Amino acid sequence: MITITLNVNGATHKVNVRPGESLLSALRLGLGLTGAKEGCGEGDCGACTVIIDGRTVDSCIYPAGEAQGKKVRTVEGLASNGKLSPLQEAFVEHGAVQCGFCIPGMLMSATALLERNPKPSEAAIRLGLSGNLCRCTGYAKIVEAVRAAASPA
Amino acid sequence: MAAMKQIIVEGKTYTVEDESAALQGEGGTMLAPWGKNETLKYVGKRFPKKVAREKVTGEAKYAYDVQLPGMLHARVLRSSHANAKLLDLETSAAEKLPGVRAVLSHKNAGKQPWDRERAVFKDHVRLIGDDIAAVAADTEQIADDAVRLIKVKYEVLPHVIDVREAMRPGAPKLQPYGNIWEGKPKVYERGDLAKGFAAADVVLEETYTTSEQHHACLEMHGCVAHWQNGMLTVWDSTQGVHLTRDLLALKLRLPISKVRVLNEHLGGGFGSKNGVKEYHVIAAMLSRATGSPIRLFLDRFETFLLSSHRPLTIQKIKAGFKKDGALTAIDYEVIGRGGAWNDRGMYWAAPAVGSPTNELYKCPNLRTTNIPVHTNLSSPGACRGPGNTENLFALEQFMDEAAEKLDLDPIALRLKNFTAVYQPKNEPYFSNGLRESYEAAAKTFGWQRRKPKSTVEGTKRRGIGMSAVHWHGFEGEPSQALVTIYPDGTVEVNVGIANLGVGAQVIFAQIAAEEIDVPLEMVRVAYGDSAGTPYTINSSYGSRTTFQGGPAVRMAAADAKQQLIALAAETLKVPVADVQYAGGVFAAKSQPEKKANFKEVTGKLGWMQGRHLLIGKGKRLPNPAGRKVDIFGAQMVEVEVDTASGNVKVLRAVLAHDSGRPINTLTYESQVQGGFIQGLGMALYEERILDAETGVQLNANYHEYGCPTALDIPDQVTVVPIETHDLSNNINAKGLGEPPVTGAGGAIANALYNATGVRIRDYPITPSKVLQALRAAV
Repeated sequence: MITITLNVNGATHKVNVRPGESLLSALRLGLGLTGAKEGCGEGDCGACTVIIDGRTVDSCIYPAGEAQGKKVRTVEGLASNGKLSPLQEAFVEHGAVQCGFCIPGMLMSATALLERNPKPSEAAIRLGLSGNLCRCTGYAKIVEAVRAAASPA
Repeated sequence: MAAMKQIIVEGKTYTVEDESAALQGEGGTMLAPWGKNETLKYVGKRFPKKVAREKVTGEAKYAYDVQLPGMLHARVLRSSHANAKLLDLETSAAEKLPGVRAVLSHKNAGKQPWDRERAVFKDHVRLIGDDIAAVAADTEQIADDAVRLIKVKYEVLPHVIDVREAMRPGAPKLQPYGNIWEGKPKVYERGDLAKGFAAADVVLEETYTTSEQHHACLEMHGCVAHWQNGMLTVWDSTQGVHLTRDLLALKLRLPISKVRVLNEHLGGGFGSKNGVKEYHVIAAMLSRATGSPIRLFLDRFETFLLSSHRPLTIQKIKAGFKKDGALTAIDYEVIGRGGAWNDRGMYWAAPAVGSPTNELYKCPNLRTTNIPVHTNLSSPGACRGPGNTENLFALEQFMDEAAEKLDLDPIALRLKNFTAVYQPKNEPYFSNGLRESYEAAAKTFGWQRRKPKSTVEGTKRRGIGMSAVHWHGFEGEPSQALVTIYPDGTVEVNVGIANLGVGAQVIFAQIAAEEIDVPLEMVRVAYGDSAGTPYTINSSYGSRTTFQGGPAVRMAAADAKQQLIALAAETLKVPVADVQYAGGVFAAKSQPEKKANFKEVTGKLGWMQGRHLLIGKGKRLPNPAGRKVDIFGAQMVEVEVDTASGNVKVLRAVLAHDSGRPINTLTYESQVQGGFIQGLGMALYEERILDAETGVQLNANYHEYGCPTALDIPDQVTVVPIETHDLSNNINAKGLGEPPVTGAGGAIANALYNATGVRIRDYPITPSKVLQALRAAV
């Protein structure tokens, strides 16, 4: 085991990891942050998406050690003081959530997208979410929620 | 003696059970269906799901997230041959690996049966992936390493993967009765087929094939099991806590009281997570052997290989029509690829019931032949809209081909053969919104602008197409619910269901709020624990959760309300009959100044007041006899075909669905959109591609398998609820989950033909198939 230091959602943690252990595993088993999900373990489905220094990564194929000295953000960090972010709120109100297993990753991709591009076109939203599989909703209400959060009425 | 009445349908008289008498029953708490124009406060409105808040914050705990102190991780050694006997199994190296806590195989756990045919750990494997041994270790990696240290010596036997090959004489025989399930095809017949074909002006015959679609749930299949003090607790990724509990108790020969199954949130099911699989029993056995909680999840490869899938089908349709389009005869045959073992999967290989061919169009002379065939593969299973989806993908292309031959509009041909009667039993439907669905879809879509052929030149061609939607309803199996009223006015609905995420919880809350007339915020729904809930549904399959549980919840709420009114009478010191209740206020009819609000009355309850809580009990009564519940709809799409690349893009879709009364229009839309996109995936992309020699899936990962992404969906997916007034139950619901998948294939294939003049009868409609067909057509 190796002890590494991770900055997650603004707080610093010491975590013991095996050589080569993924960031997802360190978050889930080491820190008990089970918001990021594992849908494949192969970097295909996006359920494990987190934001590292402003960019989305598939944390299931990202070595935990690589995240040292960087700022990691997970779904647990989106709400502040119990108040949902506008994007989270929009996902609930627009019925964008069914089983919800893809949602933590979907929200991180959408958050990174809106930070990069606060007024994305329809095509940019779809492209921004295209690395995140959802098997329940058919995406329509997810895209609608991102659109709504991007341009508050 | 049931009260009967006579109704006239399509000019014929039918004797059916009177629904008002049947559903009202005795005792005053049994309820008639809501009236057609009844004003409802909560039902039929848009309400977001309460549990969605836990999901967007990452707090929601799925079985996959369960971590217990001292938990061990398990992996399974699986066979690498499609048919082989184990000559030797050497586990000592695995057992010696540091961190390994238990190794089970047929050698030390051979007595644990799986079903009548086989043990959980096999010594004769019949497919690649069959369970041979299992390891529990401190980490998943150690368990994985240990599995690799187990040595197996096989005697390899002949096997068969191809379904047509398996039907040939001389093919390896997989079951004592041969390779056709139970020895012979299952045949259903009515009328006189020869006479029907003789009377036809036009006869058409075509063959269609559908691919093996995988459920591809985001949460992989698995559970955490803890066997402690003789009691087995399982946190399971399941569609039904009661069915999983009952089957685990049966397989492990435990009393039901010793098994508890929990599911707070489920990461996708679509038919693949009903009941138990070997991994449930293995996790339980490893927990018993080690005394520790065991986490056993399949990985993504194993999930694709083993968790079940929609079967591959080859369907031959031959039908005769009169010049005016009236069907005179249908002869239908389906060959479905099944697995090696004689299990429930063989039923799903070519389902013999619910076939749209038997039911959707009026046809007096008909034969359907179902041929499920064993091969050395894992078993197929129910996959959202099982049977009906495969069948409609074929039948609805066929109807368009017939319409062209008869020179009729596709909708006109379908309307010509409309029936309001369920033909296999000659019973009228409670409701059939098919005509209204065609009409509303056509109007919303602009169907009248359809041209017989695409006129767009260049490499991009557009076309439009449609399909009917059909799913079979159920008869109203036993279902119970409880509604408890607490001193502070909280209304708790207690239902024995898992949480698939489609909104059953908010729907049940709406129904209780409606019946008791309290704000929705005051209703909470307890669910997800087999030990603390009544039997509301064995498992959420068949689009039944609302249809089964909803009427039981409404009756339980009505019972609780009756008890509240009695308590209000006591509070107001007036007779029960004198109490009226509306909008949260109880008042005496005779003395309007005597009144008490909801919480003043509920405040009399509880231990502090020395009084019991009010518990309302409800049950689902069977549908009134003599009529049938089926679910209908119509889907229309516009596609753009790139004749240079072969790509088919669906530009827009209109989905009109008759599911009886929509309870929550927000979750309704989401269900229909999501179901349609699963159908779109099956129509255009999805397919388990198997190695022809071994049967190993070559694309057993999300990257190559091809689930639709946000880039693949139409720009517009418009949902049009068609509200029929169904009288089969007290909430007028019929079911919604599965029907939306069923129409996508026919609609897309028909639109492709409209755009290009080529027919692809082999799903999925991949670019290479489109290009080949276009080339052949030149």
